[in-house]
Amino acid sequence: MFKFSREQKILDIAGVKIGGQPGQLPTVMIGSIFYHKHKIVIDEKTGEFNEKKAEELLMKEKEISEKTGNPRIVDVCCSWPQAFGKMIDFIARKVDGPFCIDGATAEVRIAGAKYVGEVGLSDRVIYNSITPHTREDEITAIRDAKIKSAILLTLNTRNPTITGRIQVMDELLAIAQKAGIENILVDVCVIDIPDPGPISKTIYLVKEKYGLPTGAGVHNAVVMWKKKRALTPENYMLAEGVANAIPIALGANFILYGPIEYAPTAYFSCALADAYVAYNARQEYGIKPLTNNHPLYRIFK
Amino acid sequence: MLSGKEELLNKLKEAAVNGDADEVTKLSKKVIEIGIDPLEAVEKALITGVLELGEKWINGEAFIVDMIAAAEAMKAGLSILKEEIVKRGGSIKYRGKIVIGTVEGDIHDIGKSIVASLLEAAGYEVIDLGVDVPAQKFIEAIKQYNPDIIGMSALMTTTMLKQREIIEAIKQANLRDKVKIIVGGAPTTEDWAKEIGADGWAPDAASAVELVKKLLK
Repeated sequence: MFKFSREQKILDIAGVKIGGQPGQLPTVMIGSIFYHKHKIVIDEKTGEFNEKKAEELLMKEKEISEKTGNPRIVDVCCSWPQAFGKMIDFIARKVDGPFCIDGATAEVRIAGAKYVGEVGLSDRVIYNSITPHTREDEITAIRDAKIKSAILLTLNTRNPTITGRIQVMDELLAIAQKAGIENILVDVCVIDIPDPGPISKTIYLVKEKYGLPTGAGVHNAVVMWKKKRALTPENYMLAEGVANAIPIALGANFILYGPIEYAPTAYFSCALADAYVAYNARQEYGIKPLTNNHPLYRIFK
Repeated sequence: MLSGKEELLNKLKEAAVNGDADEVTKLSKKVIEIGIDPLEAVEKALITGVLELGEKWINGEAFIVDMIAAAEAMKAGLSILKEEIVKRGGSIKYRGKIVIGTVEGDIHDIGKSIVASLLEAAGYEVIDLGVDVPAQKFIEAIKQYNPDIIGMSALMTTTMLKQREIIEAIKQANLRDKVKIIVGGAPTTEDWAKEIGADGWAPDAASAVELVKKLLK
């Protein structure tokens, strides 16, 4: 395998460490809750949801995370501004450490940013996400809320290739700086069915050039495929596993693995990929995991 | 053996399919230089090429990135050839005029752009208003371009509601009977299109082209 020639940043966001050379840290798993059409959401507009079921999902994910050693960050999705506070409050109470706020529109994200600023949760929040299209009012809201962590999405609609994704990086970094972001994560933006290939190489190139923690939502590619062509449940799960593993082999530090219900298989595939990568890094470069909680020491037990 | 003209048009078509805008620009200039009918070049090379690619995309043999690159290459060629067509007193005979945009509050571009590209490839004139388009901009576009169809994309449950608002605003402006309106985007359905008074709905880009063909028969 490889190690990056550029020094790799390791961030500590509210207790979760993310980044580094292949084999140093476990992949951070980002799963979504309260996403559009999530069964546990009773009313998307008001933010009413089944708390018991939400808690069960969070508990289950926590157990899996502890078992594999992959840290988790919950991605709190929301479609309506007035609903966000209720969802954020719940997650902040039930989850230790950081969580993402992920609004469907700028208005929703701005509402989320204002809310976390008002209730003093900004230190635990990762803003998901800043794109090259992020508007001035959104940038102001992030800055005013004193949110320090964000995912930058390398969306390039005119050129969604490896080159196109890299091209928007400097623009994104300038926007992040304007918004007062200190902890930068890069999501290399999956848009099409076969994208897990090129986005994996993009992850490698972003890390080599910028040294920033980088990852992707490869689940989106598999879902698009499933919508277009019927996949058997077995093949679907295998596809998810392969799509998760390839970016990790090329240096990914986090995986947006989709709905939180997918935690059992997503953690398993990512933990296994982490273990293989880490074992190689140890043999080839003498790079040892920075934590005893690494999947290398857990998954083969 | 192919004639020089056929060979050039084949190369132009291939360059469009490959999404090579620089090559398309170069070959389009050559078309004019050697006196080939620019209209023929548009129809036989650019449009045919992108249509073939569209078929491949539908069959899973081409991908979004290919479609976007081909549409960009076609635009590069059109910008050169159109000028010459106009100079010769001609015009491209479009099958219809479509104004397309992603509704206000929504910045999703890719789905809408693919629909626009496929429509262009199918021989329609497309005016792309971009993303985050408010009702007023659609109204102004109807007045300015006199399109046959307005296409509205929305990728989120929150922004699909804007499709209803925009249709209402078009009605308020007394322009509803001047255009057909189609809607699409991940959260939309046929029932939704009926509910808000649209003339049609398409589940994906390929169906959108079929829908437009049907509505403009």
